[in-house]
Amino acid sequence: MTLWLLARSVRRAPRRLVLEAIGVAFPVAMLAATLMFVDAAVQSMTPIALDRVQVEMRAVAKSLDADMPTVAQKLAAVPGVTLVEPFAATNVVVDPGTGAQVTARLFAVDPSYLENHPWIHVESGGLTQGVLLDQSIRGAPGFDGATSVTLDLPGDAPSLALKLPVGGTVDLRSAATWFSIPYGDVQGDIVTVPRSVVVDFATFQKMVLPILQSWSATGGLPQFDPGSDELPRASLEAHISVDHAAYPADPGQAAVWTGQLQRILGRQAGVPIVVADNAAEALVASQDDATNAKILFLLLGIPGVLVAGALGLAGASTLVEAHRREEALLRLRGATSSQIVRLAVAHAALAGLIGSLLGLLAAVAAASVVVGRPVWQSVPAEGVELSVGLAVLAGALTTTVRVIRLRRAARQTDVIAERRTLERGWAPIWRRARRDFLAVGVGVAILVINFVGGGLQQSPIEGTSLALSFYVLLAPIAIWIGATLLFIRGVLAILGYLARPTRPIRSWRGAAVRWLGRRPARTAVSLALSSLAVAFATLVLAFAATYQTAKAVDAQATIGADLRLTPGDPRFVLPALGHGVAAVSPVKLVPARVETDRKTILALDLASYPGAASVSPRMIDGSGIDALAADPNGVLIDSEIATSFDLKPGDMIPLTIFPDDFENASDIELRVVGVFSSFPPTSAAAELVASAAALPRANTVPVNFYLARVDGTQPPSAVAHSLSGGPLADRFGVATALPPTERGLTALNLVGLSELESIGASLVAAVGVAVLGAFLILERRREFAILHTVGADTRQILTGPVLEGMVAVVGSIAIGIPVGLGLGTIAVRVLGLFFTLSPPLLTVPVPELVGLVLFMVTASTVALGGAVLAVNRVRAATVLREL
Amino acid sequence: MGLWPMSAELAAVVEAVGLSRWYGPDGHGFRALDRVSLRVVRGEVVAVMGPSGSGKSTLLFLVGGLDLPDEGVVRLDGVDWNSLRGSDRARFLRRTCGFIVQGLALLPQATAAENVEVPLLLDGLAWGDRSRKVTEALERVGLAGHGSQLPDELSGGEQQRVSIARALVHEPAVVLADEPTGSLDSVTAQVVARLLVDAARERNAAVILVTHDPAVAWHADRMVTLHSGRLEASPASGDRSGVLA
Repeated sequence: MTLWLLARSVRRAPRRLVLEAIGVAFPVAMLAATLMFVDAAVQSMTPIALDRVQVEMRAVAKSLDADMPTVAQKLAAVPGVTLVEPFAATNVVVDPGTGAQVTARLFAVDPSYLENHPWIHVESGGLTQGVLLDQSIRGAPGFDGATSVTLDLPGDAPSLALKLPVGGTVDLRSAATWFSIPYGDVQGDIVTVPRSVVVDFATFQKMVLPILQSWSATGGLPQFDPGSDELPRASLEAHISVDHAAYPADPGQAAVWTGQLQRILGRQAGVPIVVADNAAEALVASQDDATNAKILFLLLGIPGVLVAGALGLAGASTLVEAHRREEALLRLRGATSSQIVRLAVAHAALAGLIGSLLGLLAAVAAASVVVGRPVWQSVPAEGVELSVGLAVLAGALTTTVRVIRLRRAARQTDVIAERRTLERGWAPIWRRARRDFLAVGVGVAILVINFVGGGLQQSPIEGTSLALSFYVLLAPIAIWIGATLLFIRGVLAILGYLARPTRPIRSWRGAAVRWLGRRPARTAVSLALSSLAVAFATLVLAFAATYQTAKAVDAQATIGADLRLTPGDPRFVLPALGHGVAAVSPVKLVPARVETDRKTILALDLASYPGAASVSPRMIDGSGIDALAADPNGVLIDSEIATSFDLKPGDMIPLTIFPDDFENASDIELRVVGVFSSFPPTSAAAELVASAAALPRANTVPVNFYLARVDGTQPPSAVAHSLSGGPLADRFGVATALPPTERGLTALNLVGLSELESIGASLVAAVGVAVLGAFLILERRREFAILHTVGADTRQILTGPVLEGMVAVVGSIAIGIPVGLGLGTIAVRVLGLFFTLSPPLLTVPVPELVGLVLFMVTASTVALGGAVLAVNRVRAATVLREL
Repeated sequence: MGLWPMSAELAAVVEAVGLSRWYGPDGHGFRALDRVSLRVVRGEVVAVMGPSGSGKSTLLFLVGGLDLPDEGVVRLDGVDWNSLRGSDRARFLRRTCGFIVQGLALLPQATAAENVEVPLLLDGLAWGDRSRKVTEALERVGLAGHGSQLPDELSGGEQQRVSIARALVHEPAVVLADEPTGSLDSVTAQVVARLLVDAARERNAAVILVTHDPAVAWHADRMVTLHSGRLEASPASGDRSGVLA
């Protein structure tokens, strides 16, 4: 019976079903699209994290007797492993035959290793031709024209006296993996070895390893020491490359998976080895980033879902009259209350089902367009299932609330409903309950409490997710709702003032304004929906723009100047640069050790740095460059060191510079003169900044790079181009920008999210106006017919609807954009922890906002135009017969 | 079928000739009016009676230009409705006709005075003239002190009086009333009907009064009866015996 009634109802009024379905589709689409986008964004974090890893795993033999080629063969059989390459390292003394010996780190790899890993640059020659010397040895006295070198083991080791031809020059400045400590508490710390040589692994295995093995057997070579904070004196390793596609896309699962792989490799080797997981740290950081990204996206996405849900409920209100009539008809024909309720539920369920399907299809399409590929290829099945499940739940919730509201409304009489819309005795529930004040109060209270409690500041010990309590995220949402409704309260107050019959009506338009003031309910609903949507869209656009600005500032801070000039060989001397360059300053990175921690000092030429740098340091405490210039032993430290070593300006900090360079190591003490949160160039990742003059023997190390400022006659890119083709050709790299040190969080596609959410919000705003149009068509037919009978022409009849539409559209823009910008400012502060550097107050994305307004106005005009056309089609005679 | 009870010498303000109106495709559907002709002179009150669905309201809407006949012509004050389009048609309607429709057909958001003011406002009349006319109209229907009240604050009878005031405020040549007392009790209905007829006569307006209530029709100068879309009979002018029968 119910199904039969349902079929008849759908056949009689298919448009009603479609309208109800669209009401459900909106929140489903907004939620599903946001969740799918979040999932897709999170899935992209694992590849980003792994991109920075040079070698995913290192299997370090606990004994030099391990047969590494056999071990490598076994490890290569483990699923997911793509390549296993033997690697060995030890310390040697290198003699060019002139007696000018230097200590160096010897690395041994197969020639193919150098081809497989682009972070090793063979400047000249090749490993098959002999030993490769790094540029530091090449620059050492006696090595410049050497054609062969003799390698020996240092100290009291057995004699090696391995004479090898020089095969070429290698640049190992990017080979961080080779210089990182493979195990222990300080695993991953980079040891800045001053000089290095590279030999073929076969040569090492045949000529060097037997001597190391015998030395070790006699106790001369220290045993494997996992607690050491130095590079192993000698190490025999297998470098394991893992297929990135084998990692689960979710960073959390990838972190677990890589741990499992580490243990499998340890078991598979067959000999005692320690497997160091180089990917683990990046993946754990990525896991944190994923959590933060979800928080960020949900904060930016939830308001859209809320406003879309409100739209669905408001849309249902337009159908109350139709439901009431149908119910009356059914009762006349003998339907019982339970049958009517069953029919209403069945109708709503059908609409909910169709709406959920429509919403999901729209979400999949929108998310796929924004992500750039089908979303089901970007997100694992379980992620899609969860998104679909949550979205359908939202649809079911919307449907349930709609049914309840429709049932309640259907019990009211027509007259009561009409009276409710009149000014006297009518006020929306949020006004009656002062919920706008309450929401603003709650939001402000959350922010104040958090601020007073020391929140909204990133602590280096805590992660961002720990520092940002979830309840803080509620503040912008509460203020968004409260402030928007508060503004609408103001608009309604103005309309209410204009509605007073104390002054004469000047014109027909004036009458329309007056009557709108007496009957603002429908316009207020539309205004509220559209204002909330516009405010939300503005918030998302402004936040995304600020995020982009911050990233641009971050990128500029990364290079620290207009140009960075990096010598291809540390021995290259900077020639005269000619026109276009106003200032140049050399920068050296000096290794240091503070207690047991290895740090890097940015050694500056204080005379030239201020002229060359284009970005100022961000100081937290004390002074910057001026303080360094004033104190010859001054040092600036970053906030993390200040916290972990409990240092402040005025404190002395003892440290060892060149700790891993036997010839140059020295202990010094510097005075802390300032604490910074970022010091350009940030790409140097230096924790301390000092004058090069304050560091003993700093003049003996080569310049790492130069900062240069252009003179303004040409843009930096043009100067860079002319330098690359001119005086610096083939010798110096010239960069105007550097790839940022990307973590998943900084690589987030917020522009995509902002497009998704702003278009969705614009549509919500436009449909909010369309809801007003629907109200006009469905509720005001009698009124339009009455106006026909008193001789109103089309223009006069449409004056009221057009005025109400304009109030909704213009009002929502006038309210929504300022509220959105205010919220954007708050959101940037609340989410400031997500920015690498302190973000700007707010970036107002003018073109995007203009686009939003145009899109919203166009969509609203179309929606309202449809309503106006429908109003114009109202035939007075037909309507009057119904009275 | 045409009946011409009034003297041919008097100028007809309403002249409907051979009006037909049907609903459905190609004339094969329901015929609401079938070649009906009617002529009403200034100051004359004509009651149109008949059972439900007989075409009374259809006739009224055709005369008032709210609907278009499938056949026939309607002339008001000598002007053929077919010659008017768009805003000219609307302007002619508001200057020539005063409509009183069944039910409580006031604008719910406008006060009683504003409801009466609407036709004048649409015509762009100056505030002073509007105010005077509205005050007079409300006084004439006995609602002098009720101008600032909203319709839902007035009784049914009062609301219908406001409708009458609105229909007459711009002194139209024709008043078209569709069941003006349909939603009122019998005593109030009599008062309202009397008020309508008297007010129209004062202004020398022709009145076409659609009603199914013989007691209301009794106030008319003439009565015509519609049955299945056809005008069937009419007593002579001033003869109310048929009305009361």
